Amino acid sequence: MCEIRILTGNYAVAEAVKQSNVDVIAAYPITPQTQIVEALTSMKEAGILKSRIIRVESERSAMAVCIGAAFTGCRVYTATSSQGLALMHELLYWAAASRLPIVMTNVNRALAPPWNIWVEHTDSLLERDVGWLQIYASSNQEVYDLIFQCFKLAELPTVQLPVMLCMDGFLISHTATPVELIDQRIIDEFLPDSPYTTSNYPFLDINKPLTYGNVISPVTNGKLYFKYRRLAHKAMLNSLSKFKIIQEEFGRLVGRTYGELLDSYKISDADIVLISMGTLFNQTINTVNVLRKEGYKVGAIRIRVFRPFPCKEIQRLCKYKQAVLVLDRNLAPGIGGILSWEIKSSLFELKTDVKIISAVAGLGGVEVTTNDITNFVKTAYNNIKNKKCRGIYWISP
Amino acid sequence: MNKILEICLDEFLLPGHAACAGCGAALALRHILKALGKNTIIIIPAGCSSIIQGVYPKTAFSNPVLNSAFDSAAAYCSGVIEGLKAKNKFKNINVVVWAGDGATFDIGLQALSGAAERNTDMIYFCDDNEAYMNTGIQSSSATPLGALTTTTPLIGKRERKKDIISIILAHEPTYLATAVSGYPVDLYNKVLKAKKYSGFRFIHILSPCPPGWRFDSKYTVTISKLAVDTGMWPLFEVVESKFNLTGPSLKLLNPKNRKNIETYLALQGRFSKLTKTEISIIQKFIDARWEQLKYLTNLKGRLFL
Ligand SMILES: Cc1ncc(C[n+]2csc(CCOP(=O)(O)OP(=O)(O)O)c2C)c(N)n1
Ligand SMILES: [Mg+2]
Repeated sequence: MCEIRILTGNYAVAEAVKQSNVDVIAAYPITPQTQIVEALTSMKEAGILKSRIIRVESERSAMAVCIGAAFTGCRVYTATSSQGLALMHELLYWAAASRLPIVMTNVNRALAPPWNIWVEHTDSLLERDVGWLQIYASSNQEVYDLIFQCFKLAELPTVQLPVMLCMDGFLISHTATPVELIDQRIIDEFLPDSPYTTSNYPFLDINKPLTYGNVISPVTNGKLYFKYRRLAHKAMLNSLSKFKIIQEEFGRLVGRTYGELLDSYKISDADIVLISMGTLFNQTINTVNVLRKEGYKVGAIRIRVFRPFPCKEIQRLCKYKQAVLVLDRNLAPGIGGILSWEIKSSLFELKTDVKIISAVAGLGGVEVTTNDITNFVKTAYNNIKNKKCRGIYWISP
Repeated sequence: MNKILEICLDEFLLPGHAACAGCGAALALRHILKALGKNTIIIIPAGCSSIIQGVYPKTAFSNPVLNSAFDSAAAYCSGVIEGLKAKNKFKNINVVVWAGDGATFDIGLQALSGAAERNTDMIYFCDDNEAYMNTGIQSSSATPLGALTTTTPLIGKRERKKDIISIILAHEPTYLATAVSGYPVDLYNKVLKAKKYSGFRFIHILSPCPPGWRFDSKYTVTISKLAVDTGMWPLFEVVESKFNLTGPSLKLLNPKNRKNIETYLALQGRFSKLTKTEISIIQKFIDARWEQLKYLTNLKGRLFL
């Protein structure tokens, strides 16, 4: 029997972490992630969480503790947001280049200054090239389900990479919705203990005295450094097909799926496709419904896996469309929306005529309504028809 | 253990390591690892010891070594310990940090303080060569007054060395000691003693550096002994909140037994720009410090506030 509870995204995450038999947790509080840390520590004090928890003095140390613990073959978890993620930057690279299957929740939040604790995706997108997988959720249930899938994916011997599970600050983290909890027996079947616990993987062990991470000189052994970087790239690419398989297995056991690398809505006959990440997708679905009634052939796509980027899927779905409209809840000053650039480079090699248009929307947690998106689609569509070119659209109050 | 001949004969820092000739750190490390033994995992942040290990795929260590980011060795160490505990593999194992002064006094101070406050079951060794040597002798907050470095190149550093010991003591470590490689028996005994305790332990080692301090490599031991004999580097330990001078420092409470600081300074090119006044300031500072050490030696109650 499945239990349904009304949980905020943060509490759904904490429940899933509890059910994942994590060995070591180290995290530092930051709004809007704080409740995850609070929930886990109170479970620990109440004696219902087995994991060891280390209260660290910063996010850098949180990630450093995770790295150290993962080096002993443990399953480890942390959570952060915005400034905390930025503070971790160097260590994120250490974790990924050490091929450690750490799972972290990043609750997306804008970066200061000025202080802003509300949703924006710039924080995690700034870390897009450090070698972590990035998966974006759009509901509390999905976040809960993804925690198990992320551990499983991270720990696959053909992947062995850290995974960042991103969810929108407040819109998911603090919004309570019904969440169906999975029976522990099913979790244990889906997610057995970390394979690194028992097997012969080279982790820190006094009986196998190895040195990890000493200098590789380009003169003597430069090829090896190069090789390890290439292997990390290969592992990233492996994860695409592996994630599909993991989701299928999860679907069979639990009965829930969310699309694969992408989620989509009414795109098969669409001329115009709206692409977004996180909860913005829910708004784009409303827009599609409104515009379909007015005769526009619109569909929507949600990028779930941002790293590695699902180029092939984007190509397959967007090749014959008239226009791809990208909603970017992030900004790279001097470039524009980061997601739209990823889409542009994915479609470039197809040499299609599809127009790719970017709208930067909802920075700093500014609300983006169905109306805002609907108006944007209409304006952009008219401009395309009249061959009027325009740079970035800004969806702001 | 009283004699050098009783020091363990096994070598854990292997021949062929990449330290400079006369490296004080390599000498200290050799004796420390002998005292720690086989069942020891070492965390090493960026610094000379990243190089001393040798170039991948070889290593000069016969213990497991985990290289860490410059600022986070103490936190890596916490993670390794918690991981081993979670796997029931922590029994009779030492997990230690071996970090430079920059990694301890400066960039890693926060992670160090965090690990100390959590009373992490570790020994933290600070290998203090009084500058960022690996990047080419830049000044750190462990660099002493007047020393020439590549970032205090003409007149020498204007600030005093940071009093890291007081900072660590404020965390109430279960064991704290100072040592030098020139007195290996004292060093070796301190490591053996530290091993007997659990919780956070800190050992601060002065490591003379021939290129960084500008002296001929044959003087490493002489200089580290002079650091002690002049009273500049007092050897002591703090065990269960009790302060004790150790080894050759025991007799230095009497100022007459302390050699003049000039004997220590004159051997090192880094102090060549010191003026007479500055030297007397340094001497006065040492004498004042020994008054404080005398007070601590005679203290009956708890050392901590
Ligand atoms: C975050 C970061 N900043 C700077 C460096 C460059 N760096 C490497 S070692 C080092 C100095 C180390 O000094 P110390 O800790 O005293 O060790 P030593 O080299 O003297 O043994 C510096 C500045 C780095 N590796 N990482
Ligand atoms: Mg140094």
